[in-house]
Amino acid sequence: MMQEDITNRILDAQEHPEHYTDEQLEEILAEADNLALLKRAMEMEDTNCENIDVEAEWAAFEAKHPEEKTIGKPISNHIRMKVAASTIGIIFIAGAAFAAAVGLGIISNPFSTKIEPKQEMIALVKTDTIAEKNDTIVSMPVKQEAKTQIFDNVKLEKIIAEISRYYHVEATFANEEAKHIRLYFEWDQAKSLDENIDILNSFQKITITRDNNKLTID
Amino acid sequence: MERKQISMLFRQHYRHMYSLARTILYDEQESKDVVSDIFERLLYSDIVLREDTAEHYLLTSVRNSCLKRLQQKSNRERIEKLYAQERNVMEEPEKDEERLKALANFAHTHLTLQQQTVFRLRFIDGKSYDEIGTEMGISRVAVWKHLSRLTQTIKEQFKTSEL
Repeated sequence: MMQEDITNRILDAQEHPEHYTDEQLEEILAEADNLALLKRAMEMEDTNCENIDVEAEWAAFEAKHPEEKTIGKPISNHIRMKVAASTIGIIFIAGAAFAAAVGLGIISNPFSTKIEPKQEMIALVKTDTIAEKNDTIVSMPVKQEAKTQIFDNVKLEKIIAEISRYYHVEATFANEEAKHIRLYFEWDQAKSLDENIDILNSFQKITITRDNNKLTID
Repeated sequence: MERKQISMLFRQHYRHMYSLARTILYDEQESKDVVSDIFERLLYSDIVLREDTAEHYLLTSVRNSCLKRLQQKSNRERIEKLYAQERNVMEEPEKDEERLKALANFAHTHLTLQQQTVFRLRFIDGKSYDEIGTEMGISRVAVWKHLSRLTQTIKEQFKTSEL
């Protein structure tokens, strides 16, 4: 197609997109790259000349998120992770000391051939991000009523399956690729479904929308 | 993140973030929403930003958030509003801005004033050919010719230079 024809097609499609199929519009969009960039450049110029009242925008933001909302928020994930890590560390050291004492004959082994753990505890195992089979789901009891379940390098498909079962909602993936996104995610069961959805939505590639008992993942 | 730090980052970087969002989404309110959402996420998260990397993080967040919104738009909307494709929004915000400045400069030096005016009225203000013709005192055909000519000029420039 001659250059002029391409230009004419772009301008015509821009004025009358209804005359073209979706596939044709896709092609035309690729041809209109340069114009689109010029529009971006001019928009940037215009914006730089505008008087943006940043203080007014901050006031609006503060009004939307008053100080009281953020006071008394639950223990942050960061602190919880530190507590969990410290707990594991202390238990391992205690266990190692015990084993050493038994080994040195200082203490006789109170257990028979089988060791029966009195407390449910599974160590947190870091997985290789490349290995397909190494999904690890561990439970770390933080408080008695609700657990924090840690998903380490687990596919979003699996995470959503667990969460939707727990909160009794249905989940549908609108985007097939999203199923295979792997995450490190600490699922705090004490938090509401909406709170956990917000946390998952902070990942750039994930969009979850809720309509009553249905979740849609993009 | 502490409210005090949010307030500092907001005041330091809002203008820049909003400007970037506008160059991708064009709409004032949508652009403000994107920036506001990013600060909202920071307010309720444990993310800690270092001073030297905060700007880059914030601008990259704007870019990603805007492109995510563009993914929801139909092809018809994309051609009507002339939204940029993802490949035309460089990953490095600083390089992206440099390129846009170079292009704006090129437009000012290589396009006639009439061509620039027609471009703004059509692609930024969204006016019809008839409205543009009336405003500029030229025929509809003349409007088309200006647009056609400037499109070719820009295309040739892209072929021959680093734009």
